Amino acid sequence: MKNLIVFALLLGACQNTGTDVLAAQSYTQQATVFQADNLLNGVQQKIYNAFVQGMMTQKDEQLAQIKTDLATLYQQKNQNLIQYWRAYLAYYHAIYALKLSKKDLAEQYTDEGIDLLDEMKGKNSEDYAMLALLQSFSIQFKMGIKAPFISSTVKSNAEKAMQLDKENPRGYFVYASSDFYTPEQYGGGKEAEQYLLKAVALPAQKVQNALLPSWGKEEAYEMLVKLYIKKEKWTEAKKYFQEGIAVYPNSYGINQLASKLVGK
Amino acid sequence: MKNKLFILIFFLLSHLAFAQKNLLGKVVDDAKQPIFAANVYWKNAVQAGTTTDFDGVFQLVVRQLPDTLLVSFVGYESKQIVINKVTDTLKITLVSTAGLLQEVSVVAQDPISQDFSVTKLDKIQIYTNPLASGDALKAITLLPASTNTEETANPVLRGSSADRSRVVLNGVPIYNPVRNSQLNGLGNFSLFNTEIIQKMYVYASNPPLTYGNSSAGLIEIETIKKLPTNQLQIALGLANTGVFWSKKLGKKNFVQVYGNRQFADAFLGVNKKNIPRLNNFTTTDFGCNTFIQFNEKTTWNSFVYLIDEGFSYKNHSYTYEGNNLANKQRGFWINNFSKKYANSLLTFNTLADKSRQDYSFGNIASTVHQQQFFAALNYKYVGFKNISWQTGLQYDYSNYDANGKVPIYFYALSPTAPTFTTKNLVENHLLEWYFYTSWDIRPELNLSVASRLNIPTGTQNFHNSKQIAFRYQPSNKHRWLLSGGNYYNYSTPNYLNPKFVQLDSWQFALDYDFKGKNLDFSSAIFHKQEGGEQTLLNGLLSKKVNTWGFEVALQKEFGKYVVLNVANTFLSQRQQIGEKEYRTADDMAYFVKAVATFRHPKIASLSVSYTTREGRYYTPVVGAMYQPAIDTYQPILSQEINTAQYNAYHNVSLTVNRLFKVNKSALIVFASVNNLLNTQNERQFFFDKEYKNWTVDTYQLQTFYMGAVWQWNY
Repeated sequence: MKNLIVFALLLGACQNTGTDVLAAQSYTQQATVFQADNLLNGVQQKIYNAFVQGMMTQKDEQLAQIKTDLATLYQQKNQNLIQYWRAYLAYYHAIYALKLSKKDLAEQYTDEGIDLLDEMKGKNSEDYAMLALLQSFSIQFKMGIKAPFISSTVKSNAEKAMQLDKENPRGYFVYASSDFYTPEQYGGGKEAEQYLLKAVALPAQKVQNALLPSWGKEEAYEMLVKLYIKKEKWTEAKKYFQEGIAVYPNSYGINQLASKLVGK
Repeated sequence: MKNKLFILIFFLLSHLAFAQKNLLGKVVDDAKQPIFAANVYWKNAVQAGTTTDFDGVFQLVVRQLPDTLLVSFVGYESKQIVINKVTDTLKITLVSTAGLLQEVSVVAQDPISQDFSVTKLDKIQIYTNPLASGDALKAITLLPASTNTEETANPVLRGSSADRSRVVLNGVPIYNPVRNSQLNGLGNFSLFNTEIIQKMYVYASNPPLTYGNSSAGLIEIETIKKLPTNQLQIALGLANTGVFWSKKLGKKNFVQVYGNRQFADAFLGVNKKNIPRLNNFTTTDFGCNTFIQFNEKTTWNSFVYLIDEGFSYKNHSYTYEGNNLANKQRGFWINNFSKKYANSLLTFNTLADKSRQDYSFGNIASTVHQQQFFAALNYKYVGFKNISWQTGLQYDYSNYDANGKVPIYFYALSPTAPTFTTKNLVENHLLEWYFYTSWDIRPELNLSVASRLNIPTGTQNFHNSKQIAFRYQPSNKHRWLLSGGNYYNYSTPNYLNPKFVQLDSWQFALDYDFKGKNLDFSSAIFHKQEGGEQTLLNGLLSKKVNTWGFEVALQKEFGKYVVLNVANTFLSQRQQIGEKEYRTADDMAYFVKAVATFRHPKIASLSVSYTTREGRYYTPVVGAMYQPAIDTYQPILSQEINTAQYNAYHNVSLTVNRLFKVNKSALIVFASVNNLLNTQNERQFFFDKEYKNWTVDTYQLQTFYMGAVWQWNY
């Protein structure tokens, strides 16, 4: 009798263990699958780190490697999100080239990024914000003929980003950034403040997700403080400086503005 | 026994250890495609969530049951699911929000232009056009689709007479959209101030049947919906002074008020030698455009325009030469209401337009009163995934009341030649209903179909305009458009045809566009058959016009600062007069337009255009017959209609402008020369009394214009 009870208990225990072993296996499978898209896990930070590395060593090997890896991944997986990150990388690659005074290369990378997003079908709010950012950046290379046409495209893409997702801070940031850099004679500088305030009031991501973008809020703080410094509104400048530092204590951009606020 | 107990405890413990359950699931969109990187988390544990892989698959540790699962991804509606127990792989479908939101927002801004052969022009393109003198309608003349051979601002598109095409401002038709019509020397201008224009769409043929009363093309103008900054603008030119004031009224609302006065003194002072027949002109106009956004969904736009124009010039018609005097007062008021719903847009547009025109030349004297009232209710629905449709009801009332003296003999115009008094009142009630639908069969293939029919009033015939178009756009680089339709419209009464005549056309067109990195190429082949009786200038009656055309245009950038545009149109056109077919005046083997633009913000912006075409055809005078009763010769025209040809037309024009930044303001200085080489382009012949000798009347000779605009943003 005791043996029967033990046997029954063992059977019961085995069944559960059996299912869990299966679940554990698929979890392993899951982990294996995840290795393939491990590249995209935290890719925004990876790209930024590769950019910083490039600035320090004056060599863009790391950026180039991620660029190749993303291109290969796209061949296999054909997802819009991969194209998004390729465009984001193109943006930082262009900044790198510009800082090394390679203007033609910077223009080429920017155009590549724009092409990737232009061709994309079914763009969402993030895609439009990234496209507007790249187009805004490209204006400096297209002086003369195209400049006025590009600004209106930047604006309309940033507006689409905001309309498609009212809680995406990147849409507001790119719109504000375009206005911030438009000279006053052309009507610029009027709307940047209100849109930057909107951007910093929103969470960088509604739900934390290492595969999706989280940029924009930090840059918005930096630009907002710069704007108040320019207007000599010291109270507001200090307020948003402190707020920005609290959220992004390691931000180089925000930190370097401290020197301008000393004694004000 | 101890061993057995040990094994039992071990299994029990291991059972406890492996007690964690995982929820397995797959997230897809409504096309069953997996969604990658979607957020999956329990409602009260946002930080402990996971993301889907490339196959849309996720695995999430179950803490307790029941619990609420949240799935979200940018561009889709978030989903909440209550999970009571773990079953097989959970299938979750997310619905895209992108299509709906985007459509309704875009609908308010852009008309249904993509499905049609359309060219978009914005403010900058209008200002930098060397032939436009800053005028919106004149800026169209450099497009390949414009076959305007008369240097006027009237829209002449793909070989059709101007009266078959329509100009629409904020959804309402503006008939006779030009001022100083018949002015010789300055050219016509449109009624529209370029500063209030946000976008202009030029539909060369097969215009969307959401607008009516066009049997050729359509020009759609939209005023701005957003004012970025307050601005004061003062303009001063050789023939113009003007003030333009834009003011924000709160965050989204704004008003724009402007006034202009045009005068001849300075302009004639500089150009008298080349415009010998222009005596004088004055124009005063006033405009006020108000935009109010009541809330996120509702807007109202109101535009009032008043104009008082007068001019006098020496005209020569048949054998009489004398002063042509004209003055016109006109006012119109346009109101637009628009309301956005979740999946649709409702708009209500109205127009009230009243004018009075006095005209005298020789023995012609006329006073014309015109009134127009227009109301349209439109509804657009975008709730279905790949199909949008639009419907509307429009009422267009026109009233034409002409009194005056008209010559009995069309060739005897001296003040002493006989006339008869006319009193002519005609009106037209045009009530139409339309339906338009656009279906994205595949992402790169679209089909649109529309039908428009009238509810006949008075002596009107029933008509049913219809159109169909296929758009194939495999990528952003290539676009094919095949369109065709049958269109009806009513002519606007004038001196020659003082009634509302029903005109119709059958049109087919195939367009191909290519957009490269710094090269744009567009081409079109089209065929039209136009019907409806129209009296021509020489008294003949034209019944049918048959047109074949081919357009090709190229735009290429050279470096950063230079753009070159070249376009050519080939037009083969025949008309039926009586029982026979003859070529029309505009039967052109070539009509080439080339523009080179150089723009450098630190130097200047310079545009040079070169236009050349075959001369227009005309019917030569082969003799004259004396009419003793009126002591005037009657011209005998050749039986061979339109067999003679004026000389080929050549025109080189240039415009240069430069922006100077002065603190918060900008000063724009511009100068333009029309017909730089002073080419004598034959326009018509002026005959002496007996039709024995003639002098050549030319198109615009070399004229010079300059001005400055000061803009202050505050």
